[in-house]
Amino acid sequence: MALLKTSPNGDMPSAPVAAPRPAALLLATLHAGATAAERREAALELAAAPDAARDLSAAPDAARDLSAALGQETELSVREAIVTTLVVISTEEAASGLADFLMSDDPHLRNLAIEALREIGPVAGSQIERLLASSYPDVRIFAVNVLDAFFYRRAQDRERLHTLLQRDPDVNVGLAAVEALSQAGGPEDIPALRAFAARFPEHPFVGFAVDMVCLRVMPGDAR
Amino acid sequence: MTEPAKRALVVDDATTVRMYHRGILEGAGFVVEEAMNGMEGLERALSAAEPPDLLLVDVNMPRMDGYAFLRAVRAEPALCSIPAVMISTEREVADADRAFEAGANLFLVKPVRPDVLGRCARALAGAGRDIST
Amino acid sequence: MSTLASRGEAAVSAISEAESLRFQDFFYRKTGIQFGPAKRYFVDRRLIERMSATGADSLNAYLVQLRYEDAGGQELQHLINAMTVNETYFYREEYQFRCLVNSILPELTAMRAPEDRRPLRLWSLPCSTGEEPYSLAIQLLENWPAVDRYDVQIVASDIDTSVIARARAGLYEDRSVQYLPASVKARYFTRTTDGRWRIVDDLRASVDFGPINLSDPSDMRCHKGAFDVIFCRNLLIYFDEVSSRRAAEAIFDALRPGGFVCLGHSESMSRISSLFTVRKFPDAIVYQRPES
Repeated sequence: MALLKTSPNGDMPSAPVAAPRPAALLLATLHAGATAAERREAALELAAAPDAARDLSAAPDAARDLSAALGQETELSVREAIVTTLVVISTEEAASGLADFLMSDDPHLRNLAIEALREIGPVAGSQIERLLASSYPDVRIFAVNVLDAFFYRRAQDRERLHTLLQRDPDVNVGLAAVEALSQAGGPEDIPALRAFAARFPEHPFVGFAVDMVCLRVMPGDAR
Repeated sequence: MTEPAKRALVVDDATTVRMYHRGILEGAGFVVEEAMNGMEGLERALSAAEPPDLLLVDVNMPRMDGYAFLRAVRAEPALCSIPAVMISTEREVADADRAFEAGANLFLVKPVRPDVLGRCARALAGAGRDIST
Repeated sequence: MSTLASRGEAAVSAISEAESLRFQDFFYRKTGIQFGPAKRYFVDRRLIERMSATGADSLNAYLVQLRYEDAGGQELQHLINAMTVNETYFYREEYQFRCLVNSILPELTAMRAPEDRRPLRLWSLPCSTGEEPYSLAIQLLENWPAVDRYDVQIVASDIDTSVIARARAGLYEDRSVQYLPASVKARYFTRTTDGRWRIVDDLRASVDFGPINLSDPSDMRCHKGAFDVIFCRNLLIYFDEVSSRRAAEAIFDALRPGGFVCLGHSESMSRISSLFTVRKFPDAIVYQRPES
């Protein structure tokens, strides 16, 4: 039998473990690192420190710095690494920086920001009010996409969804709210859903979506 | 005489939208597969025994958006000539341009009407079964 | 999280079709796994079992628990285990081993300069009781024509040190080896007096076992850029969004540029990370760290 030739047990060459670099240096490398690999490594090292969340949230500029770096970065793997770090930090500053990208013209950045805000969770709720006040329907839709991840935890978020269903002039904003309720809605959402359907009788999809979701959120024994 | 039904792949992160488009396309004679984001869409299109005959693609999705999905599809020899309808809330002309540059054949604004989508789908891909609509 | 129902309310005994679809949609979003209509009875039964086990008196209550109150992911793990078949055995998901031999290794070796003498490194993570790394070794020896031309190192890691100990011992029941051809069993195993199968010493010595925690950055740091192929099957599916995001970064880092990662049969990177490129080969879809 031919043997698999292997290195002797335990002889895996390992990357030398360097001393941890200070946050200020890592942030500087993020902006001016020569290669994508250097910038990515700097971003992830920020997240990897044992007290990363605490240290970085104690340095309020860090989140702002990271967001600025994200806005300049074109390399996908570095964008992901920066987002990972912002999600680890999970402060209102981090959420605020990410929320600004919902208005970006870059679809990749926009969708990455939505994902990140959803992962941050209820802390991102601090951004929802201003996003829902946007005059751009798409931004309001994205706000609902973020809300969807945690609205059940906060009564005011459920109220916001009802208000959108009852009042938002853009049909797609209401439809985003219908979709959110298809995931985590309950019987208490049915009146607002029906009100939305009544406002947009000209769109066949509205009736379809509302009927589908009302059926799903009704408990089985209530039929 | 009937031919085998055409296959459509619906790529959208909203369940309500996927269900709705599924209903319309099945009514137009298509067999429908779904994906929740562009990456899953790419995987389904690549791993199907036969590539789909029609792609219906949302713009904003996690993991891989609609433009990135279309670009990836156009780069795959097995998939590059499949007709694609991009569906979006975005109305500005610039976004339609972006859709066509990424490789869409058609751009429709959400929410779509069933008759419009049905006719576009049949026109782009043709339905195999004899439908009286 | 509530324990067994003690509230005096009737346990749920039936799920409506709309509710079943709602649950299946949740499960599909989370894992990418879809069940056909034929599996409706199976899904509903398992769902009712989980609802009962957690004291949820309605589907809505159960989904809320799953979505918002399952901080450690334990209920999700129970749910996934209830809905999927999860045993380990030799040659499990064999199509991926075929892909390794027929497509991945030829591509990796074709890219190498002739004077490049670095070993090819494969990582089995989690390795559990060893069936997967030993299967890799056997497959290479049996089915890879170029196996004698390259140094190959197989590293096998798990967070659970007790399974690593069992893996090192290399002793298996009939059940684990049932899908192996007789010739393979004859070549790589010996029979013990109590009827178990023991991996031959040469093969046991060629796998490098050790503990690791994928979620610990300091654990993972020493494996930066080390591997050509990582098998990470049926692990990430259990992670929540933030943990799987970080795990994907760790796996990316552990791969050489151009290296490949294989997930489990029901898993997809589309639920985990955008870092990797989808690669379709005749035997399997796998994921690649971009070259540059």
